Amino acid sequence: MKKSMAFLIAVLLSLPLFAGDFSFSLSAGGRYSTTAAGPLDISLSLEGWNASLYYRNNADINDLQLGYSIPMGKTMNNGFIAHWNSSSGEGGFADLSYVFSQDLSFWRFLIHYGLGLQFGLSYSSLSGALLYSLSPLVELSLGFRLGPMVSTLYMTMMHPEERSWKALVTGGFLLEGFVSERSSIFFDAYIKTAEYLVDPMIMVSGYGLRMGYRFRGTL
Amino acid sequence: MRRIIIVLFSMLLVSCQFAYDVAGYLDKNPFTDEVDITKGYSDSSYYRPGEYLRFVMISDVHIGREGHDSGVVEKTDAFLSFLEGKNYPFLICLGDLTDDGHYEDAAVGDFMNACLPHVNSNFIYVLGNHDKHVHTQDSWVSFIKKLRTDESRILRYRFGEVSLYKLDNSSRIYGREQLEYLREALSEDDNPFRIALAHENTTTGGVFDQSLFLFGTADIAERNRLYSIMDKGDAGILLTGHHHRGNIAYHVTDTLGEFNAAALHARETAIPGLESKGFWYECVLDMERSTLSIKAYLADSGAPTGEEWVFSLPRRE
Repeated sequence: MKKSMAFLIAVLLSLPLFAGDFSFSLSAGGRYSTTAAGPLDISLSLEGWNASLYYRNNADINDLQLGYSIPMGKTMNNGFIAHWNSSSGEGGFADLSYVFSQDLSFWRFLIHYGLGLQFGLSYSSLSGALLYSLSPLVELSLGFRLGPMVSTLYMTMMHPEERSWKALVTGGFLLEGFVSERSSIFFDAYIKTAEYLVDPMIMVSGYGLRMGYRFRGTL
Repeated sequence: MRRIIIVLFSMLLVSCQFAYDVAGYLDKNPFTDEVDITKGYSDSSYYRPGEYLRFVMISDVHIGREGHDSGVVEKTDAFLSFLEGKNYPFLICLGDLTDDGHYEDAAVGDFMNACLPHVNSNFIYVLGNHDKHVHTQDSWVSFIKKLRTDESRILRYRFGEVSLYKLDNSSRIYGREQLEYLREALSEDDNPFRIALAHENTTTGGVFDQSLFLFGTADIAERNRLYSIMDKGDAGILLTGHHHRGNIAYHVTDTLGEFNAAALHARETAIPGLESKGFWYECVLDMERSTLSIKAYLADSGAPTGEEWVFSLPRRE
């Protein structure tokens, strides 16, 4: 008991060291994927102190991302992401990514782009052998701010719901409406393509809708 | 705001329903009706029931590419000479017979017609991504129905004790339905040996080449699910192409693996080893030992390369 109290006091005393902005969001969505076991995704994300955590579950699939950002000036950012995805009893993959990104705004328009590289290792529950991949990461989005609403069209290889072993493009539309200064509700509709580089036919391998609540605060 | 929330929730509900509707792109299990290609075949040089089965395999012929891309040489002559006097029970073509999907070109028909008399008229043609370049997958199916009226892009053949599962991953994915149908069919299949065929290499990353970045199955969960289905369904080998460089054996377990075949055509590249020098394969299924051995031949000269890959297969009693 004494140890627990001491730990709690230490945590409370150290909070000023971590003072800063944070946010958390909770979302749920319907999603079809070629391999997802069920149609429902539940996801949770926490962001703050330049770090981020994203967790998603779809039946037997668990997906976890940990990110850390190092800002450069007001608009540029160096992002590092560690990601792990597994299907129980079948296998999965883990990857490390670096992404350089920039956020720009002109009048009501918001422009974001990112360029990066992903190194992945995959495993199968049947085999001890690890296999590797090296994929480029690209994302581009164009947003428009109107009153309490921000709408964004995007194309990305880094969609949190659709991160893949090889470079796959997800396109979508994100709508975020601010309920108050700190709270917002967002709505994200997206389509993931499987084949686009070596085949003129675009094949949709997954699509989904999710909506969630985001709270922004300051410690 | 209340209206917005109602609209968003409504769209969410609609999306869940929509997902299941679109998933039904296959009307029924395409593996249920097997196509028996044994047809009273009785040449004991190639097939002796319960003992052995020899067949020939090619991939990525890319007829028409020589005129498009630099450094490409189509090498079909030595292969056709090799077939002369042979009577294989069947030939497996692992996709991309054409470079740009123009299978109506005379050169494509000439090549197939030259093969057919030496492979018991069984030209097993897997759909490749290049085969869809100018036509849809449906028009490709119409084309291969000229070979056999019951042909399709996803199909199960039977030759004696062997089931051949032709899969379609020509768009880099298999799809949940195809994999679930495969699971069902394998569980009901009473043939002792099962071989799966697909165009795109399902396993990648075993060697440092272009598949590291791009080629091959995009979704690793699909690869793991397919292996799990094959393992439980006693299908011990997946034969794939697409990659061109090929000649890669992946052993997942003692009795499960993938062989990635090289292209029949050759291409010189600035970085050595990225493309094929041109190969075809003779495969021998030893039913007594439950092994599949794959021997490579050089498409230049027709000489065996001396390389041989052996896979142990499960046997369903």
